[in-house]
Amino acid sequence: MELKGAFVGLSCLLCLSSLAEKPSPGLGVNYSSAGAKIVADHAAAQNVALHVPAGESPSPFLPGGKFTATWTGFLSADLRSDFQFQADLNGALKLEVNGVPVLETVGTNSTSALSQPIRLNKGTNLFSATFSSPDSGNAFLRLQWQPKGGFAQPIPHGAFTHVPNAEESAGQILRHGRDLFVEHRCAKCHAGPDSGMPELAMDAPSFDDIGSRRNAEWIARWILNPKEHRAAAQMPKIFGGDSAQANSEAIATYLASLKGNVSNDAPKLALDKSDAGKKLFETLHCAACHNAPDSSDVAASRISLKEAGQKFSPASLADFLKRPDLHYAWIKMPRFKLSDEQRAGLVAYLISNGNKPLASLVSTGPEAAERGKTLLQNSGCLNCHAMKLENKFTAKGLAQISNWKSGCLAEGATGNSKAPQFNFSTEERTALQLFAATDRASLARHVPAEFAERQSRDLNCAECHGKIEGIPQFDILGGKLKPEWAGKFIAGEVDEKPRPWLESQMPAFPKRARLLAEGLAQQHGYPATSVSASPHADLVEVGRNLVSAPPAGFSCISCHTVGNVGATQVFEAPGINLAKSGERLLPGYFKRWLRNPPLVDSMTKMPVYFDDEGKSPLADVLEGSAEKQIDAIWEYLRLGDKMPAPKLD
Amino acid sequence: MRTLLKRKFLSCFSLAILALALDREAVGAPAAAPEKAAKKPAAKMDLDQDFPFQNACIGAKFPAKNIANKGIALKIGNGAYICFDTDLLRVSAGWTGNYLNFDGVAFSGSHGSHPTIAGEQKFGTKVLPGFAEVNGVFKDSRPEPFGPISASLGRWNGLYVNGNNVVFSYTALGNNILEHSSSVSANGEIGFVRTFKIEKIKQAVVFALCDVEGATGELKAQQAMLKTADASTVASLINAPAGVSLEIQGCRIVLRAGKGTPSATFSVVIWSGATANQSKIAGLLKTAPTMPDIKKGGPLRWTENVVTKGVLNFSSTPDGSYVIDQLTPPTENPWKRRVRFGGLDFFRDGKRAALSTWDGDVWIVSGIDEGLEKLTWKRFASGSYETLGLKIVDDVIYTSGRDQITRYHDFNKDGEADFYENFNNEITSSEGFHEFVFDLQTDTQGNFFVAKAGPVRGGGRGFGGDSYGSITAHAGTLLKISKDGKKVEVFATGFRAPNGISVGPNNEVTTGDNEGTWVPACPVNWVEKNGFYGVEPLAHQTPMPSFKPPLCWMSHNDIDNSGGGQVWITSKKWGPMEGELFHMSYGKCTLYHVLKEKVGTQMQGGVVKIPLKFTSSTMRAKFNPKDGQLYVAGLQGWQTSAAKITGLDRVRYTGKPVYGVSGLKVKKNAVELTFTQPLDPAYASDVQNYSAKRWNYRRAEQYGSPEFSVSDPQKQQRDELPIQAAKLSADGKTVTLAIADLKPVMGQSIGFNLKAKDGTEINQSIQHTINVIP
Repeated sequence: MELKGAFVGLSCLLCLSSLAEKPSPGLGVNYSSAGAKIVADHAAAQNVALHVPAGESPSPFLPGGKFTATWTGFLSADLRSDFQFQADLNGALKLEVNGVPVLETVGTNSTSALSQPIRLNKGTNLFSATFSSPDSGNAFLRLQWQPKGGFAQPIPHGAFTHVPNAEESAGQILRHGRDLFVEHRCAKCHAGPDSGMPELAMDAPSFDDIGSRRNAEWIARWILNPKEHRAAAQMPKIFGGDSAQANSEAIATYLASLKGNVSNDAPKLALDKSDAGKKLFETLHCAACHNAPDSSDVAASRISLKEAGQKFSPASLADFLKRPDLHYAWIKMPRFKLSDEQRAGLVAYLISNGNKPLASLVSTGPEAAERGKTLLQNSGCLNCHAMKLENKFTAKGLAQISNWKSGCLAEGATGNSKAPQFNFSTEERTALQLFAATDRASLARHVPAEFAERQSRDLNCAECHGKIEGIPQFDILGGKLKPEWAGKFIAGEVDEKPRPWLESQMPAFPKRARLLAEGLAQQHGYPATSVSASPHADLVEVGRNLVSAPPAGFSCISCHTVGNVGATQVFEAPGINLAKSGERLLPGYFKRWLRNPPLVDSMTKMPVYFDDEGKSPLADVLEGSAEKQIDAIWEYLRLGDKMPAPKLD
Repeated sequence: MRTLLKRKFLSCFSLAILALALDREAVGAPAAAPEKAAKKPAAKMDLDQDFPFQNACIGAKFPAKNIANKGIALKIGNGAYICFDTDLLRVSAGWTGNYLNFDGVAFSGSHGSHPTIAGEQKFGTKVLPGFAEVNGVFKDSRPEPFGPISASLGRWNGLYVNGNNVVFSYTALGNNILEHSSSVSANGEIGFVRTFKIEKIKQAVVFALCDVEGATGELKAQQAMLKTADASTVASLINAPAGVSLEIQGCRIVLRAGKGTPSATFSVVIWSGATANQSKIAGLLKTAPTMPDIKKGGPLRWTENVVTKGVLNFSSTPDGSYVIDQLTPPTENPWKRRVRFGGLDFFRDGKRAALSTWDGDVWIVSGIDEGLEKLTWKRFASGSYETLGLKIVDDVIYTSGRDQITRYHDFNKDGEADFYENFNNEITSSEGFHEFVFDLQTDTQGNFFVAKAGPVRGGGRGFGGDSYGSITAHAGTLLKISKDGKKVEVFATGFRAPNGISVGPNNEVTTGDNEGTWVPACPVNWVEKNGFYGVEPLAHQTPMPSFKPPLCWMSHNDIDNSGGGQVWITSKKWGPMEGELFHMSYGKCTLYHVLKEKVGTQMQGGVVKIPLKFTSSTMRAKFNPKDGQLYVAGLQGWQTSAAKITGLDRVRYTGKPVYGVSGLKVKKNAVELTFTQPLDPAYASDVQNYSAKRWNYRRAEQYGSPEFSVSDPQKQQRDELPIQAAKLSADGKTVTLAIADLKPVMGQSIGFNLKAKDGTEINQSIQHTINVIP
């Protein structure tokens, strides 16, 4: 056990971490490498699914190659009832419920037979599933269940719970340390691997022309102590002691002198637009990540906007809102599609409700600027912040560091230390130290599913998804969307809103988009590139009729736009354009959605057309089989732009 | 006289300018519909081409805002049409060319529009009563600009159909008027002919013939004209008796029938065209006025019947106790009529039933017997205004539509209606697309009940405004109409879209409703007189009355997203259900047994699904007086899981034992479930076999409500509700579930997987509302 040392070191911390009896969501999962030298890792998983490309690893703490994954915990049922299980897989699976073997199967890119029915008790049932990766090909598993009288479907994530064991907590702490390591850009100063985790490439705001984009007064105060302005700031405090203020102001003075072209299309600030801005702030759900400037909310997990007017001029704020990632590719602030008027409204709202302008800098002028320039070159700023200027700062390479309790990780503020002060909490420091104590090979391993987990947490995806009416649950998206489309959508490259009735906008995260989409798919057991089954042209016409007006069809066209044909009976707003379904949705998702939409989204307005036994009310089409009719509809819809128009009567 | 005319001309002109300005404003207003939905489907132009009229809200192009809320668009030959407004008893417009733009929810499906005249409008009248007293002052003295004019001024009696001739019958200031509209064509010109048959005039009456804004008038003996720059509108009398004359009132031509005018039949021919063509009018005045015979009925119009064969055992409950037999509807018919059943009732013989459609037809189906081998569908009437309710009283058919309750008369017994009598047209209607009049039921005294929807906006949220109509006196109310049709009273208020009601054997009144603004979820309302059922903008009372909670709420996704009607089980031949109440979900196409109880004065309860599959939605249900089985009709119109456009199904009791829950009682810290069969005690007494959840809704302006936790009311979720014990009664039929923390709640579900003593599985779930705990 490579990590044994880490576990011993953890014992104290584990006492602190909550190991209460209250079960956690999801299952515990134990990854174990095959071969002579067994390496293990523990984590939590929301479901029994994975997709690991051949030769890769299911966990960053495991080398690539053959592995097993064992999920343990509880599976809950509403009331005592019979269920059958089934798996899509490449590999081998052993499933046990309440200690009884339920399903044992080996699959080669195939779907297992349904298990015998097993009775689940009301409440929790002991659950264990072990998957062994195949000898060749991508390893994957997607476990489904079939309730009595229902059809095979993914097990709702809410049905899984587990009590985390010590190993899982240890695995979580290691992950936390690894996250902190990349989030704080440790490898930017302490040379380490530069490929593997995508976050290793994370930049910081560029200094190019920064004088045109930020106010000097604010820069100085930020440098002086970033955490004072933002609890979650990753930028360290660089300067301590008596000269800290002067040093900060000097750098600010220098940076403020770096002026470039100010955009001319900045909307004029009209304070009377503040109300419109406030409304937009609400519509866009900015409060998912920010404390509104006019609210008394001071949640440390959200970024305050009180300082927006101190940080930006109105014009530069409007520019920033146009493309927040222009000078900082990995910024968490997303892009929105905003009109000039909308940006002006937001600017008015933010500035008129924020703090008063800051006092002017004490020491300014060319001399201060020159000093600031030197400080900038020698203080490590340029290790993270891009600028065409010689960087004179050096730090030990990762491999050379032996003491993980001093320097950046020293406990307590040491006023005169040269090391930057990150103000890590005890928990963060311990996590970093425990992570540092590993071989850190995990930095060089990219596990897409875990990338997606980290980033969706950091980007607060679940603050809107599943919380706001009409925005889909987040935890199903990986099993729902084709990763190619999801990647484009998250990147802001899909022009047409899938849900035209929503006032809100999907924010765009261009830098993370594709990796995130791929990772989400893998979390749900799907490959990063979706696989298309060969088309069945013979079903297209049947599908077209089923989509069309009665009596031949379900009249999907009443509510849904289909390509260029507008919905015929729009009530609130037309439903999702069905011509886009083929490129958007994984076929398996589409089919279970159509079979019983409220099972996927309990608030959907989409009706159920098929009964529990899988019979269609259109009994004379394809033997009245729900499955066959849904297949036909899919074959039609997947033609996308090339589909023949539905029939209106 | 000259100056007077001039002043009138001016005021008339300035009004026209004002109207123009208002129109401009309307054009400048932002588009209400956010969607840029690409191509709209063509309206169904071929739908109504076989019948002389269509009732609907019909918009004309002039004068300004000329909308007939209850209009009859009538074909009068030669490609000419008129629209008669039955609220105001006026001819609102005459036009040539194309008939109607069939916009609107019942035609094109569009939400937020109504039919408009499609051709070239030739003349029109202002939105005022169609006639005035002797002083000739046309004044709308209705309390609001909706509903019929006062009975003392005039009353719409209905219309007679004889072939393609349609005769309007109404009273004008106590005078019985029959009016027949036709057209005449000569020299390429078309004249609109209004033929009046009057009895001796008891009280002078002045009819409005046309308004031409900005025109100047010119009067001759038997002719009056209104001229603008290069166009004229001319009214000419033919065979007018002494006492009948034309007059010009500013920009209006009127027809005066003085007191004592003898009974007569005469015509007015209205022509409009380029002044240069005015000389051609003479050719239009050569036809002697005749009034078609209206008393004997006309020739058979629909000579073909549609014959269909039923399908037995289309669907069955798992225990086999109830099955569905389909009565295949005449959806394929020679007239390409869309068939969407909205009303259903039986004739006394039980072999025949009448069904009204949303599309305005009445069909009579005969041959209803055990095997359903040959069902013959006869088209009985057509052209009505969204007839979503039908009742047969003494073998006479009544329908409820947006314009009126119609009583149909078949004089010559050829199976087709000859007289569409206005039984009552007091129900107010504006132009809103969503002002459905739902259902038609009677109580034991013979009074009629209907429910009227509110003017829901196209977006589904809020009521009225823009072109979505107005909150008129009857919007969102349940209405009671006296047995003789003469009196309408508002029975209860605050409904949004109550698509279906019931009146029970003891005159219990219920409605469903559709979730939406102020309706957090679909309810079953137990309606008390003067009760207010929740939709505040449709309360019609100040101050805002207190809200009467429904018998139960039903959740959007498992039970009902759009309610249909209810039905009381009055048959002894329909299994162990006599005296029970059933509810239908239009949206979910499902029949529910309502498990109800009265605690003090408060009704409450819940529903359990009868697991049957219907052909289309479930909306109206009636028992056949002969076979004692339940017949259910429904349609596919707006959001529903119905797969077929319409259906008529028989829910037949097979005689096999029924397995399931049949009673629900809320006790202190317990819920009692009673079953139709003794249960296996091993299952029934094990709490593992039950699960319970509960939640609340928020009744407010938004569209429907999420489900909120009871313990943490800000959180959107259902709370698990622990069941401590399950105790089976000595007779094995009643389970008492001990629930320590039972409290009033809007939604509570209880699921169970049990077995009857004989081993039959009973897997069901109920959903109920606790208004009070005893």
